[in-house]
Formats: sequence, structure tokens, C-alpha cells
Amino acid sequence: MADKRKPWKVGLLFLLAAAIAVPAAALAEKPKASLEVIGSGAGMDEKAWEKHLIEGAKKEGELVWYTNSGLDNVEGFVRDFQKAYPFVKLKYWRGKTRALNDKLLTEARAGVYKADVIKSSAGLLKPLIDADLLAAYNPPVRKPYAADLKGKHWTALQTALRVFGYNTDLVAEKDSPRTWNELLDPKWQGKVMWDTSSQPEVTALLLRWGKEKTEAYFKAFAANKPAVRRGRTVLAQMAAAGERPLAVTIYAYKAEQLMAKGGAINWLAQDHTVGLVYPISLANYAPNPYSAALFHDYLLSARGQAIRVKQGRLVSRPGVKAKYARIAELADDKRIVFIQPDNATPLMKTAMGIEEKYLLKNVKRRKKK
Amino acid sequence: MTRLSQLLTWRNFALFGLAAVVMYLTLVPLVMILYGTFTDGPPGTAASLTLQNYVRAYGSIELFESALNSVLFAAGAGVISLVVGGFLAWVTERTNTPLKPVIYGLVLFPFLVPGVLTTISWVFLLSPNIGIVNRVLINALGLSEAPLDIYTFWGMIWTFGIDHITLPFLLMAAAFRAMDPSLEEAALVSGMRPLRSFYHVNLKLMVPSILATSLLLFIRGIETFEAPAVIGIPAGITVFATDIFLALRDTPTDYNLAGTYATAYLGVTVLGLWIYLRATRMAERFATITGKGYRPHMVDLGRWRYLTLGLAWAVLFIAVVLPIGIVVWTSFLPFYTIPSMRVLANLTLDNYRWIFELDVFYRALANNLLTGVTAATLAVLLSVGVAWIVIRTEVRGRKLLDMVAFTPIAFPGVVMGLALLWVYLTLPIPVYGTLWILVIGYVTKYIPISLRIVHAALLQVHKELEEAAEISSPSWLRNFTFILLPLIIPSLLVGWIYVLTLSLKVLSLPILLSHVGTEVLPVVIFSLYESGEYPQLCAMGVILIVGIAFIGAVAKLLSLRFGVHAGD
Repeated sequence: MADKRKPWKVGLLFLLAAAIAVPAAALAEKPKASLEVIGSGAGMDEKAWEKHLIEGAKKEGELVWYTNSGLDNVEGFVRDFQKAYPFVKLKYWRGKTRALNDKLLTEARAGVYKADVIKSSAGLLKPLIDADLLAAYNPPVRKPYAADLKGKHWTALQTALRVFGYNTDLVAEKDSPRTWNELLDPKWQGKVMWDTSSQPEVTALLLRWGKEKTEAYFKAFAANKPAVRRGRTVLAQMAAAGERPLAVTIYAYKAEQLMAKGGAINWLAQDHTVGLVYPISLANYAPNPYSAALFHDYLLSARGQAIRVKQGRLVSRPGVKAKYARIAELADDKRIVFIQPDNATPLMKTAMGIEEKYLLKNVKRRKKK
Repeated sequence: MTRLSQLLTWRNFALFGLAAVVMYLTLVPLVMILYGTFTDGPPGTAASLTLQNYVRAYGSIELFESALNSVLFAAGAGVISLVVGGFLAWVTERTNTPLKPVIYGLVLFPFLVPGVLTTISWVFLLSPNIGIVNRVLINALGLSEAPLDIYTFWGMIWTFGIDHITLPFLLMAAAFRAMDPSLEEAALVSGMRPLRSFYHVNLKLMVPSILATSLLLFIRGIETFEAPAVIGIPAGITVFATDIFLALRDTPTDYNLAGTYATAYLGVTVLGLWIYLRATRMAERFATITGKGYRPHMVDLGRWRYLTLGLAWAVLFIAVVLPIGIVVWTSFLPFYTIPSMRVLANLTLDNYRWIFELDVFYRALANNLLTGVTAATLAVLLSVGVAWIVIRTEVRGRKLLDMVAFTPIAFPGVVMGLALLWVYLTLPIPVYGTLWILVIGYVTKYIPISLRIVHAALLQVHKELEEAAEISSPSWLRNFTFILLPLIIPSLLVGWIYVLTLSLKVLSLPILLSHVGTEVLPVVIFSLYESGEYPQLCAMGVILIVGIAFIGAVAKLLSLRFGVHAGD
């Protein structure tokens, strides 16, 4: 074997090529800002604005929706939207919020703009606003929405309530806790399940109580030995199966779905019920701005909201009633703390810190005592 | 001039080509990620140089406690996987235990089901309150409280270890299959007791396979977040992966910090590989496939074969039937319920119907099979090239080639995903938005795995076979393709199937690289997981098992067609 050539030299060459190419980021021209193309819709009524958008959308023919919604929900919207506007092809990319943000921000840094409409989540919207990726879009369809359910760059597509669930075989309705403070009662020691990613619960209490009281609360709550579980997926089902009598971070509509199928579970709205707002936004540099606005407005219209209702959610548009009566009743209830981008973002880090300190990391040391 | 023409052969051309591709694929993310650990911003920002990431990542004492937990966890789980997988491999490959095909089939199941499902299954089996095994034991033994508790360190080790028996099984089965019987006979003739001969002949000959498996299992163990999240956090046990998860919960992902954490994995990887390469550096020592007939003979166990059968079945019942039984059971229910006669009335096919009605399911499946099969094939081919250079040539830098090609295993999917996303968004290679970027991602991420598998297999082939072939036919490519590759096909298949199944289960890398219309199956799986559709997720797991079992059967038929026998 006379092989004395060095393969690493070849590798080095490739590496060099890559290293040179990478900083020379494709400096593609930024598309025009969406609102510059389509106008603002100010002074127009819903019908006239929709007509204006349809005309533009017909020329574009497609749009891309970046979303963190569950696939069944996404496909529900796709089917209905295609029925309403068959001339625009609605495509989507689906990922969890963190992946969605990572992807959008990396694309933008490389000068690539692929998203037309964006659905993220309340606490995680700010990086996108800061990067100038969301349009300050205020179409006529937004008018009926309450002031705390819309912001400069977003509108609430829906709200999901997170409530106290209880196992109906193990707890009678009259005994089930209705306030956060009742959970501190020693009789619930070791009997409360908490999902590992429940910063919104902490945020809700921070909004109502302030930092000091909230932190003191979670210290006491942790001392009552809650059972921390990962995966809201199975938390409600575990509660129904009797793993622990209470699950305090579950979705009301999930509990309703389980109840409808005969699961041994029920729920109560607590004194500070978490109302998670799901924001929908128009991309600031949408490649298909007319179609984007058309779909954005469709989602917030009575027709789009009706689809959401079918999926069991509490929607934000007045006059569209939630599927489950008990959830519908709560629509204007003062107990709900709406967690939306404007109020959640400043508290995000504090909430994560409190949850981590008392519920995720300290369990072991507490146990030893 | 003659020297140059000697070098310019097809063989060298092919090998250097392969090596160059592997270098390109693995060095790009490696350099990008390492560079990122010394800056304070993601690629594409005006970041400045800093050491702050290392201070943030490794500046706390608590981390060392977690790291120690990680090592204990990965080592403990690895031992379980190796012992159980190795035992089953021996039973199916070297004994005349009956019903071997059934054993073979069952061992493959854990490969196919996403780890998060089997982990949850173990909670439903061993939870003190609702665990079925505990209930059965309480009733049978008249106990007052649950004897087993999943929410312990042992629970974590058990769950992860027993879920990972397939890889050691397949690798050791391939090694057993290539065992030279004359060595065993020599040991027996010289008066060695069977157990001593098993140790001195079989175990020592299988060092490459065992070490390669251990290395892969250990790295998988320190990286995994499924058991640490579902069992560890409730039990109050923090491992390194938990710390990383908590530190990186904010959005957007702190690319620099994530990369810095990965350097710990990189360290373990390089160290592990160094040990492996040192232990296997005398290639001829492990060569059992020589010019002589090497088909191993079966050990006739006589009546003992029913004992091995019973043991194998008991092991498989616990390791496979129980956890996957929970998955199958739940897939027919509207929501998880402890099995009982009363619940039988609730059985439904709705979960399956729901999945089959989902448009994206078919698209994702097709995309996944296309990219998974392409990537698996490329990864195995590239690995063969690299392994051959490392083992058969004296080229300088060949060990380095092996090292570099092995590094991608250290990088978490999200870090690798961000690095690759950036590279292909900015390079003028139009792969973003196509399936090709997924293929590139999969090959890069999984080359380390196929490389270890192929490397261990190639060590078993003595070079005298290739030399003999060279004398009779000078075409290197022909000899390589028709003599060498068929000899190691069982291992190539293991690597191929492993890479393919990983592409069906792993999300964090493809989610960033996929785009509109190029979704892969894990996108569907994790959407179900996040939106809480647990029974539908189980149905998906069952569909995967059935689907891949079908592919497996076809692969088995193909391998029989090519003259590879299971040895019975």
C-alpha cells in the first residue's frame, strides 16, 4: 500500500469552502412589507376589505401558514378555508413554538421569508416582534374583539382554560378545591399533580398577586409535596385512572372530552383560572400578503371561529358560543386571568424561575427531609 | 510518474471521494457548533468572541451531581441492555432453542415504538398507585402496599435499559453468526470448560461488537431525555440532560449555550472512541471470517433448550410484551384505563380511523420512507468506505477521519438542526425546502452509528480473503462489491434498519429542516403527543410496528435470497 496522501487535506479544503461561503450570507432582497402592498384597510368595512384581498389573492394563488397548533386542528382549518376560498392553496408548516421561533428567526437572518401567517404562543411571541417579523395589522374583522384580546401585532385566535381537574371516584364535587389556597391544606398532601411546563399558572398568580406573594405561595405549595409529572398528554388520563386525585394544570376542554367518553374525571374553575391566549399574526414580510391577510381574517371571522369552537375551544369573538356549556359560561368570568403576549412576556423569566426552583429542581432535597 | 499513476486508481478515487463527502458532512456542523460556543450570538448575527458560554454551562457545582447521575444512569441501563440483548442473541444464533423466529421478531418491537410511549407504558405498569404489575402483586401476595416504585433511580435505569435491548441484540447476533467454530472446538479439545471457553473465545472475539454497542448505548443514555423527564423529574432525580433542558427552555433556543453543553457529550464521545480504537487496534485478532469455512455450529442444549426457551420468553414477556401490550391496549381505547373485563365494552377503532383520515399522515409516511431509506443507504455506504480506510489502509490521518465522522453523535438534534439550517439557507445549494436537506441531516446525524456497526463487522473479516480475491481478479471494486460486502451484509442490514427506524422516531433535527410538504412521521407523532392525544399516539405506534414488521420481513426474505442464513 503506497497510500501516503492525507485525506484530511481534502476535508480541510471543503471546510474552507464552507467557511468562506457561510459568512457570505445570501443577501437576498427583503420582500416589501405586507401592509405596504395590501394597504391597511382603515375605514373599510369587512366585506369591502375582503373583496380587496380576494382580488389580490387570486393572483398569488397560495400561502404558507407557520403554526404550533395540533395537526387535526390545522387540517380542520385547511379543509374549511379551501371550501371558502378554493382559488388560494393553503399550505402549512407545523412545529412546537420553540422550533417555530428558531426556524423563523434563522430564516429571517439568512434573508429568507417563507411564512405568510404565523401562530405562536402568548409567552413566546416577543422575539418575533423584536425581530420585526410581525405586521401591525388591524383589519376591520378585529373590531369586535375585546381590548385585552388583541395587541399591536396579534389577535387572540382562541383561549384555552386551564383548570383544576379531579378524579370523580376519589373526590366528591363538594370536597374538590376551588381556590389555589385550598391546595395548601395538609389533606391534599401528595395528592396534587402538576405538569412540568406550567409557567402560565405561575404567571397568572404573578399577575394577580405580585412576585412576593406568588413566590411564598409556591414555596408552601411545594412543601405540600405535589406530584410533578411531565406530559400534559397523559396527566388528565392519569388523573382519570387514579394516579392522584387532583390534577391542577389540565385543559378544561380535554377534561370535557374525557368526561364525554366516560372518564372518571371532572373539573372546576379555580379562583384564578388560567386563560391561555393563542395569538395569530400576519407576517411582516409575507411573500403572499393578500392571501395571508385573507386567511388571517378568515381565522378571526365568525366562520373561522366556528371551526375552533367545534374543536372545543373558548373563542374570543363575541357572539360565537363555545361547544361545552360550562366553558361557554366562563367567557366573561372575572376569575379568568388572560395570559397574552403583552402581559406574559415581562413575567416569563420570573415565572420560569419560580417553577424551576420549587417544582422542577428542588424535589429531591425536599424529599430527603 | 509511475508513483502518481499507481495512486490514481479507481479504488483510491472512490475511497477519497467517500472520505471527502464524510468529512464535508461532519466537519461543517462540527466547526460551526464549536465556533458558536465561543461567540455570543447565533450564526448570522454580529456576535463577538466570548468564554461566557462555558462559564454559564459549567460554572455550577450542581451540574457535576447531575453529570454523575447521568453516568450512573447510562452505565446501569447499558448493562441491562447488553446482558438481556446479548443473552437473546446467543439463544437465537448459537443454540437449538425452539421458536427462534418468534424471539427474533419480538426483540425488534422496541426499536419501532417511540421511546416516550414505552416510558409512559412503564409508568402505567409500575406506578405505586395505578401500576398494573403492582396491583397484580398486591392481590397475589396479599401485600399492603405496592412493592415496586417506578419513580426511583432504578425505575429510570430499568425503563431505559429494557427499552434498548434491540441494538445489542442485533449487533451481537451478527457477531455470533460470524463466529469461527474451529476456535471453539480448539478450546474444547484442549480441555477448557464450556463457560471458560465462552469467555476466552466468544467474548474476547466479540470485543469490537460489545464495545461498539456499549459506546452507542452509553452515549444514547447520557443524551436521552425521555426517562429522565417522565420518571426522573417526578422522582427528584436530575441528570445532565435535565439541566440542559431547563437551561434551554427559553425561546429562541440559545444556540451558543446549547452547543457549549454539547461539548461535554463531545468529550465523552471522543474518549469512548479512543478506548474503542485502542482495544481493537490489532484487527487480525478479531477476524473470524477467514479463508476457512466459518459457519458456526449450533450448541445442542438437549433438554436444557426448554429452559433457555422459557428464560427467553420470560425476558421477552417483561421487556416487550408488557410495555408494548399497554401501547396496543391503549390504542383501542378512547382514553387509558386499567385493563379489566368491564372496559372491553369501550374498545374502539376510532384512534386508527382518525390517523388514517389525516391527510398529512400519508405525506409524512411517504416522505419519511423516501428520506429514511435514502439516508440509511448512504450512511451505510459511506461508513463502509470510512471503515475500510481505517482498518485496511495505512493512510496517515485515518484515525482522525474516524474521530471526526463519529462526532455528530454528540450534538443534540436542535443544535445540529440550527447549524445545518443556517448552512443551507446561506449556501447557494438549493436544498432548503426539499427532501434533500433531510437526507443530508439524517446521514450526518446517523453516520456515527452506522460507522461503529460497520467498523466492528469489518474487523471480523480477515484480509486474507480480499488478498486471495485480488489474485484471482484484479478489479478492486468487483471484489469489494461481490466478496467483501456480502460477508458483512448482516451488519450492514443492522445499521441500515437502525438508521431507518431512528428517522421514524426522532423529531428535533427534522422539525427544523422540514418545510411545507416535506414533513416526516415524527412531526405527526409529536403533534399528537403535545396536543394530548395519547391513545391516538399509541395507535400510531402500533401502525409503525405493523408497517416496519412488514419491511423487516421483506428485508429478511431479501437477505435469505442473498444467502445470509440465520444459522439454523
